[in-house]
Amino acid sequence: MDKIVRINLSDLSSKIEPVPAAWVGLGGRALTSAVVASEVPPACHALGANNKLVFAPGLLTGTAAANSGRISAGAKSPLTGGIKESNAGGTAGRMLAKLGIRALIVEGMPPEDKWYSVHLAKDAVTLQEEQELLGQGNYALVQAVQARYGKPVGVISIGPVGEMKMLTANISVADPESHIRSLGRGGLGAVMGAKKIKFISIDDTGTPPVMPKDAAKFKEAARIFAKTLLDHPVSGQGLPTYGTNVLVNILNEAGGLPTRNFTSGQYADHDKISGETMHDTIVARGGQPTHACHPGCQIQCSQVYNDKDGKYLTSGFEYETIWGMGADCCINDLDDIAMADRIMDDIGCDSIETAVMFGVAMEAGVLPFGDGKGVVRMLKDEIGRGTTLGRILGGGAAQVGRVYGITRVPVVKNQGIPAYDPRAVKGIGVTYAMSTMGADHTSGYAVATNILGVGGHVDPLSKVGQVELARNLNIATAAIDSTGMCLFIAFPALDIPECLSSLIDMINACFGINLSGDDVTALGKSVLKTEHAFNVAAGLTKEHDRLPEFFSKEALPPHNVLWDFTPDELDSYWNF
Amino acid sequence: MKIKLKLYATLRDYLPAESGGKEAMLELPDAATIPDALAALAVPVGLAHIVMINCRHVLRADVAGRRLMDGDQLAVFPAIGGG
Ligand code: SF4
Repeated sequence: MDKIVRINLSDLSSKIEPVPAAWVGLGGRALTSAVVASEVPPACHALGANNKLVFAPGLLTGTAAANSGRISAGAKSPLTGGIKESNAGGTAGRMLAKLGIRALIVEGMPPEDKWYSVHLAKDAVTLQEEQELLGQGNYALVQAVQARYGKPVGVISIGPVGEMKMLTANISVADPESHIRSLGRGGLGAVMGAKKIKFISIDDTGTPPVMPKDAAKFKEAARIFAKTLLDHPVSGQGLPTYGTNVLVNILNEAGGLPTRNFTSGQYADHDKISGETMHDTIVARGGQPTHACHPGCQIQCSQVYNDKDGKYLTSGFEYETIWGMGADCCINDLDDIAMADRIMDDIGCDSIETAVMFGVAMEAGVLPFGDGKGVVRMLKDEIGRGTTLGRILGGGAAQVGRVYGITRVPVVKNQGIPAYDPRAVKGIGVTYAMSTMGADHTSGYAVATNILGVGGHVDPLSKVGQVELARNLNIATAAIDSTGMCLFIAFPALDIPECLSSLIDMINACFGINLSGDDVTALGKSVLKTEHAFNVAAGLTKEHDRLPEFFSKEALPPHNVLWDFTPDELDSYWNF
Repeated sequence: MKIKLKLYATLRDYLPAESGGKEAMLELPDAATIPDALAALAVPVGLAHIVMINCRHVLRADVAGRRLMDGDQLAVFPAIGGG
């Protein structure tokens, strides 16, 4: 039976509750945002007892649907000051769904200075004190927890950065190989650290797969859906072959690859860090160019990157990380970037926020641009150890900008702007400005239509059509984030009508309901409105829905373009 | 006229070995179009999913008829994505 598990640290209690009527039919982001909006006072301190950390598998997570294994985490973000949802692959989402746990709500604060872990198993919730694994990095922690249980239990954990409640802290989720995926953005690891939960382990032994109400209808819809993923050239060929890092070269070519702390749209050494180079390096060293971050992922955009000696170095090595440490920090050595990626996963900090932060820190002269070894050292010895400098850097781009008096600080709502310059890719700029999440490319990926020719083409350098594009994509994404689907199903969904219709058919068959396409759009709209209302009540006004001033003052080469939307044009985003 | 053709991802297999594997300088007749340039390296036009001239996108409908100019940089990508 579906249930909500509630862990209260204030009285060290755990409860299993039925799913309240208002939350029935919600999953993933729709559910985490509904719980946060109804139970967290918007004005609360994000690191205080009144914030809640919510985990929820998506609606289809745990079923046989391809790419449906995502887990969402939500809370008030200590970084943006608004609501946050972040999602990832790994094995935990599927295991929670198999246990019938629609949401795990972690609330309160421990009365004593003690740390805890949570173990979830069939009909059992255990909250216990944890001492042994404090201070551990995520890689060693996952190994230790799985050894403790003698099986590959699901693991959700924080590293030292989360324990120290830094704003760059993320939450890690173990993947099928016991490596790391990340609930990356918005400092959710600091919220878990504030609750003093070092890790959550999940054992789904003895639970059957999630069974759809109408198995025959589900099977047929799942078959059509999987075929659309295979048929679309991006999800069927592009992503599995090169992973997301194939974007380095195309963004560079389009003049939208933010370089040297957002002072140029092209990076001279782009080919050294490109997806093509990375693919050849992985193959030459016996790594895996294609890899699934969760069981049931059919697209398999992930990869395993080995070091020069052919030993595992990192996986889930994404474009945004490589862009950030590469072009934005001018580090042209993929091995240095891979080492930085591994350490960030291990100490538990968001690789986008941290990379954007280093771009600002380099401009401030904390270390020179291009100093890959310096970045690796600072991650390990300063941020990972929580030195005074480490805690400044671990606070993210906005904090470092303030501490060092830098004016070129690429953030919205304090969250670092990723990988696509808003002056040269204007649709994604609208998403950065308006997203309820702060600067977040995944919340409305207009790059698809501006740059990649998916879902038509809207000229990236013109303002025409961008607000509408961003609005529609943000609405659709809020719905997709609620299904448990990986966002990359959006590529076929934008071009092949059967992709979306079969996705809806799967949801209907799973729950015995009758949603239409309009109902799904309505769900996306209602998620955004719920999140927006929370943000407004938390004090995030229209004036926070803006890009930093320098984007409208400093022209970006090679197109020499400015950010030129008026406040009214941006605010029209909310006209729905 | 001379143009530079840059190929990316799987399309790099079409570059001649001596090119260094990333781009090729092409000598084309005046008034040559994008398909003419692709034909010079036997790249099927159907694989040209994203086309840019001098860092600006060429609409898919315009690819067939778009004329090149001396000194143009033509960049061609297969269907790719990420995020
Ligand atoms: S496509 Fe990539 S991110 Fe999406 S589920 Fe598969 S491996 Fe994970």
